[in-house]
Amino acid sequence: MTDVVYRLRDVEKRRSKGGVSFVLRIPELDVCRGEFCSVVGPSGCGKSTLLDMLALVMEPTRAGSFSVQVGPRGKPRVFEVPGLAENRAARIRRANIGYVLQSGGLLSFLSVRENIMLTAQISGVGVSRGEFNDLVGVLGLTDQLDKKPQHLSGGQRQRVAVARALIHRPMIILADEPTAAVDYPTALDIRDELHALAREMGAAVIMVTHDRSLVDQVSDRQVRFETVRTGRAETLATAFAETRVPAPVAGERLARPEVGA
Amino acid sequence: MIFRLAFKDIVHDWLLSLCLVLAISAIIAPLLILFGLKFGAVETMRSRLVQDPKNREIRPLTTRSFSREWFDELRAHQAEVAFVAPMTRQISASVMATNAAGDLREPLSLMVTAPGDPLLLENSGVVPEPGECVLTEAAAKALNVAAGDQLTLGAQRIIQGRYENGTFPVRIAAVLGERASSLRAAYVRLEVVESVEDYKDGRAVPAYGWQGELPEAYPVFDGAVVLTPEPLSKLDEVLLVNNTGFSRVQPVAGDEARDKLGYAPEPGWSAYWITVRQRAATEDNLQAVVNKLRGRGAIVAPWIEPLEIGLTVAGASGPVTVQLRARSDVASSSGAVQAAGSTRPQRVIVVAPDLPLSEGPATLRLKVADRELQAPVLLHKGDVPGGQAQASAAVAGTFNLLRHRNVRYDSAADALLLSRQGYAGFRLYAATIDAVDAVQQRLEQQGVTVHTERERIAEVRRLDRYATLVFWLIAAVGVIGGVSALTASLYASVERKKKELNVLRLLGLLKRELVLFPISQGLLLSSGALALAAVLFLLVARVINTLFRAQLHAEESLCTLSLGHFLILAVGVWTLSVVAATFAALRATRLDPAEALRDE
Repeated sequence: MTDVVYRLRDVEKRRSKGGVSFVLRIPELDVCRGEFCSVVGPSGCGKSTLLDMLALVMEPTRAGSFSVQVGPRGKPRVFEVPGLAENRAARIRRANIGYVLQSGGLLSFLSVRENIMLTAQISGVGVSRGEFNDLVGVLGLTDQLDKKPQHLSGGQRQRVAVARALIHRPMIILADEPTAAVDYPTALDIRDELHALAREMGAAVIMVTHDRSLVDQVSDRQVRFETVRTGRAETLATAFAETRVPAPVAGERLARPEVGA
Repeated sequence: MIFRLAFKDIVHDWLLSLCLVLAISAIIAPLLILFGLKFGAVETMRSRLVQDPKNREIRPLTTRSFSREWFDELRAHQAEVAFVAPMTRQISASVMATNAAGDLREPLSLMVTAPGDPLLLENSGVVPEPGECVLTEAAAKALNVAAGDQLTLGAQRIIQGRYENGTFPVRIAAVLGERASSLRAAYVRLEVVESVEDYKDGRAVPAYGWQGELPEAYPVFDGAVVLTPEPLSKLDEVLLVNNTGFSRVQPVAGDEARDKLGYAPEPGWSAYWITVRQRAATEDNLQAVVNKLRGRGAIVAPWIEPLEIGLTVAGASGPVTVQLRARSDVASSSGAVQAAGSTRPQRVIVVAPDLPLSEGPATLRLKVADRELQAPVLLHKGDVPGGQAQASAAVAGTFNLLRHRNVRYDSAADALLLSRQGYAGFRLYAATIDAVDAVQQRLEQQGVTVHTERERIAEVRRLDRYATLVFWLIAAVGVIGGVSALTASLYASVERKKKELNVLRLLGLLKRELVLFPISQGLLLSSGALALAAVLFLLVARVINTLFRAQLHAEESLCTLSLGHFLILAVGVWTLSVVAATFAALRATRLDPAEALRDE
């Protein structure tokens, strides 16, 4: 399990809302370091529920096995997610997981610079001026650092979110529909930047999207959902993970920015 | 970091924050002003009470004789009594003052002062030395005089239908501030007031050269030895104690009679020792015994309990202590007693030749209980049967008077004079306003009715109590309003910032760290409100104090707060802001980081 950051076996999450039950079942899912794992599917198929569990903010109802392996490459630690204490989960999150949320999830009262540095400050990771400048340079944010997020375009906000997710060099990056609010070319740019930078630092990226075409070219692994009605008020969604060989489609570029170049 | 985030958020939402700061300071500022008024006004009245000795003055309403011992006893209660001085009868303490130019004359009341007099010392005055006086401002204005000027004070009396005036010069040592008294009065040493009273009572005051009677000390005896050629019958013995002032008669044998007389009675004579109980026998008592035994050839020899005296010869080192007895052979049934008392006897003391004392002038020091007498005497060496020193019955008896009352030597009259027995009144100041009640009670228990500023003190205390109550009622309403406003605002702030706080939780902030966010904001906002309220208070207090400047003394303020008050208030406001933020903090702990994902 050296490079596996997430290992899920027979994990199930049951939720009820308004008398309607929803069951998400994950028979098997492994996500390794440096891997780009896309989670695709239509609305309501369970993508967010899966992401909540991977983000350690939601416990599975039942799990054959559900572990997360984090820590330095030489001395990784494995944590069983079921029963994980809230504070422990928070500490794992702050040190090891970066988040790119749908519309950035940036703090409106902080500048771009402060937003980016926030995760580094929370996790206590030191960031040199050179590292910072390289990252914001690659993401084209050098001239935006003193602005407030609300004064940026949607694409710029997402780039700030990417920078914030990467600045403390996490092992895992969770991206929840990071390109939903931007146009397609920008979405491609953000996808490529995220993919390239994460790969550069060996982080696993788990990106949730409803647009399969956006991630097909970069996904090392893809999670799909099959949904069936098992009763009048119950839906069962099963997440299947399949390993893929990313194959760029002609005409769609794949940016490979070099960090620290 | 949380504090910084909280501060950034406040700055970001500056308009909302400003509104909240204004709202909170709108509650704090009136409370500060109210508290400032309560503290300033009541404290001003209280400090006037405390600082002005007049408010600690206790005046007698009844006239009676207060002895020196009574004053000493009162002075012993130092925690309650700051100052007490005897006063003579008021009618005897008025003098006519004339300025140096002689063109202005004003009647003044003479008041006794002494070291430690708070009325003088706390009203720009000094305690006058002998020959000096301190005037009230009203007196100084009336006489058009100032400190350092000379005044002539005069007392008037009527002797045998003739007006007599006794005057004496004084230097004005100081003029008291207006606050001290509105009376036209001169404060002088006790001796001056006593002299004026003596003069008005017709007595001589040798110190000022005023003629009149001298209150000369007189001899008193502790008993007498009666020698008769024939034994007295039981009936005659009873006659010795019947209407003579003596209360006990006892036949004494020859040896005992010799011990008392200092010499042996004639052989065959009978001796009787007559004594008084709890008082002294006077010359009149002896004369009464002489009268009873008239025609029987009896000798009545006055007797005193030997007095321990110290004699110091001029130029010699320490005093020599000897037992002084009355020489009893001067008294007889033929009227020697009158001879001893009617003219002023020379204070001659005969001392035994073996004593280390030389003949000539010496100083006698006699101390009985707490009374002391020092007087010049003339020493002769001679035979002193059965003792060390003796004086004539008149002289020894006069010294013996010190056992019963104060006697002083007056150098101007070269006589032993009676000190006054008591004083008609007093000037008394309690140590603090809080001690006024205790002193009043102490005096009233002794039957001395007094007037104090008790009612005024109680009135200020009541005002203080009511003002405090009103303040706390208003403060409670204000605090409830302020805490509610802050609580609602901070709670709303958490609700408003829920999305961003969720993100912080998702990014790994612990619950306990996130709790600090609303608490920090509460502290920051309340600090801003407190600072603004303090500025508003200072401005308003300045306006109020300026408006009422005419009614205030220097350094007094109607609306004021000390730095200590501000600090206490700040701690209170911060505490309440933390309490207010607690609800918001509890809300923050219930935030679900999953919401950050879902909100997207």
